[in-house]
Amino acid sequence: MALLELKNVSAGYGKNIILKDFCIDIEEGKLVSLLGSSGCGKTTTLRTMAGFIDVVKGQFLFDGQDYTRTPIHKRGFGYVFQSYALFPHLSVFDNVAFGLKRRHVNRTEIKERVTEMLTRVGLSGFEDRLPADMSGGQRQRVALARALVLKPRVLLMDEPLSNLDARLRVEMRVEIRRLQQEMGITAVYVTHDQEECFSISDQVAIMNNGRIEQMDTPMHIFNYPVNEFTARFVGFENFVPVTLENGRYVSASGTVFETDKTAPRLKAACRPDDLQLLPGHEGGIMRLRGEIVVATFLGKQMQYLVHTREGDFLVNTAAEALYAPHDPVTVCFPREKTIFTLDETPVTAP
Amino acid sequence: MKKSRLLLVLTVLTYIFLVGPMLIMVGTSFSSTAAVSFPPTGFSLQWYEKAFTLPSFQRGFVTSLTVSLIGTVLAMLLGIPAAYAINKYRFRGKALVNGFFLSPTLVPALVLGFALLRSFIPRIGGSVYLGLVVGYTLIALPYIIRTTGSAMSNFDFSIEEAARSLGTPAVPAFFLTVIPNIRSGLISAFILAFINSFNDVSIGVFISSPGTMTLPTAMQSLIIGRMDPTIAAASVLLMLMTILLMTLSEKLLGIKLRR
Ligand SMILES: Nc1ncnc2c1ncn2[C@@H]1O[C@H](COP(=O)(O)OP(=O)(O)O)[C@@H](O)[C@H]1O
Ligand SMILES: [Mg+2]
Repeated sequence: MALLELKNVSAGYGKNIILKDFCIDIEEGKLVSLLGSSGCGKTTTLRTMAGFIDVVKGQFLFDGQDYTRTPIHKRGFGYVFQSYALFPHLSVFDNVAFGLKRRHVNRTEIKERVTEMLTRVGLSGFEDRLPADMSGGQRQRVALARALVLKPRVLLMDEPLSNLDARLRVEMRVEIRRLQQEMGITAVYVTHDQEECFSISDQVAIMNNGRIEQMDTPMHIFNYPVNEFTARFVGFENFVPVTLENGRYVSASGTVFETDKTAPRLKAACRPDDLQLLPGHEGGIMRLRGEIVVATFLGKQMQYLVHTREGDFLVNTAAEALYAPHDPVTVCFPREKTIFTLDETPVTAP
Repeated sequence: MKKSRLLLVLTVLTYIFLVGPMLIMVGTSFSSTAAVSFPPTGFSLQWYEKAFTLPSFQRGFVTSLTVSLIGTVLAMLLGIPAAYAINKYRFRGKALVNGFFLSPTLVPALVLGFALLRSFIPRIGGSVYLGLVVGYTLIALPYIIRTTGSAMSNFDFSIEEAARSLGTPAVPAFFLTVIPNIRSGLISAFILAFINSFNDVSIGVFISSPGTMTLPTAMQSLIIGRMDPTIAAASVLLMLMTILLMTLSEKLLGIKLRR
């Protein structure tokens, strides 16, 4: 059963409703990421779960209980802010001890638990520092320790690594994953970084415009995006609309595409790395005739922009420069690397 | 070259206009005769002695001190939540509210309000003292909102939210996070509001009775008809008090900033 459940939730800022009829189920012990470009409503979703934003319509369930109107401080969820939001006037020890003091835990236990937690995040010896005297990475560890010391069942994190440099980001995400698994916490992780998200999540929800486009394991999303938005999000760039004619899918220029799907209109898509180029013009299934427009040296690879009657395609090949602009080529969509998504663009009158 | 000489002349003139009356006042306060003359004739501290012992001044001082203290405290109680709301929430008419408190045009409006209050407060059965307290609260309010507001504008409200998520109800979260982080702003708001209400002349003019008068009103009623160097002495004392409080405030802020 899901531990966290948003059921047809509408929420936003005053009249500006961001989430409409929003649904998500998050299973116990899982780390689920909300991935999407800036402004798509990730933070709004997370803040709604935390109780910072009121639910206008719908229900929020925690462990089967209705938490829709439960005040923030009674939810007992940990929250890690993008800006860390450490208490600037308190030492590291007092920052981490804050929640325990609110719960009137006795002094010796506070000391024990804070010390243990600081050791866990690699900050023992920093107890007396003020947040201002610490680096970004250390501050984020304090923020994690401060939330985790209360042993919350749910940890909500809003782009916790976005203010760190690239190397530290990789180090910290491993750390976050380790702590989450060791402590068996259910976590919701907001990010706009695809690699970061795929590397630490059990499940990823791709968000767009206040909705979830697809929620699945990272590997499934990467290999089997269900729609064009998700496909583009995970690196598919070359789309060919195909329609079902006499039991076969055919592109506008008459090329046949093979798939087991059955919807009347689909889009075949392939990543630039997976498309193949053949010299000259060759016909055949899932092959398009074209002409090289631009050849770009990418270092490890060559990238070609190929013009065809179905539009322009990007193809990455091995680094040897084989083709020059105006060369005739054939673009091949390998069967096992080609996906088919629903074609949701409105039909234009012929 | 010419330009800078002109500038120099202007600067000197400005200083003369600013400092000149003050010098005359200081000089007069030490004069040994009752006539106001400059340069002063002789030297004595008699006017200071009189400023300290004149019963109307003593009462005026106590009245001014208590109403401006009470007024400032009340203005803090009203102004801090107002500044909090202005900083934290988006709402309709926010720019208007903000502009109202940030612009100095508020003061003439207040004076006008006072003409009304003067007849309004007695009608609802309030005393002159109550009228003064209400007036001083209103005088102090913009200073409180402005100063605490600017302190809060540097505060990251997610810090307060962090406290909420760690199990703290709204009101304690405010006192545990916002207040300690705007402390220097609170202190300077208090001192600034206090100085400005203590030195305010307008309200006492509108609201007074023979028994209850602010110090500026008491001083004014003394000089009606004749000039007396006691006024000069009292003014010098008020000026010194203001300078002292200002310096204290800056020192406190300095200490806070270095932390
Ligand atoms: N405090 C706010 N008041 C009004 N609108 C907001 C506020 N915060 C965010 N929004 C709007 O809500 C939408 C979603 O924002 P957000 O959830 O922060 O996106 P994300 O975290 O995915 O970048 C955006 O269009 C943004 O402009
Ligand atoms: Mg965000």
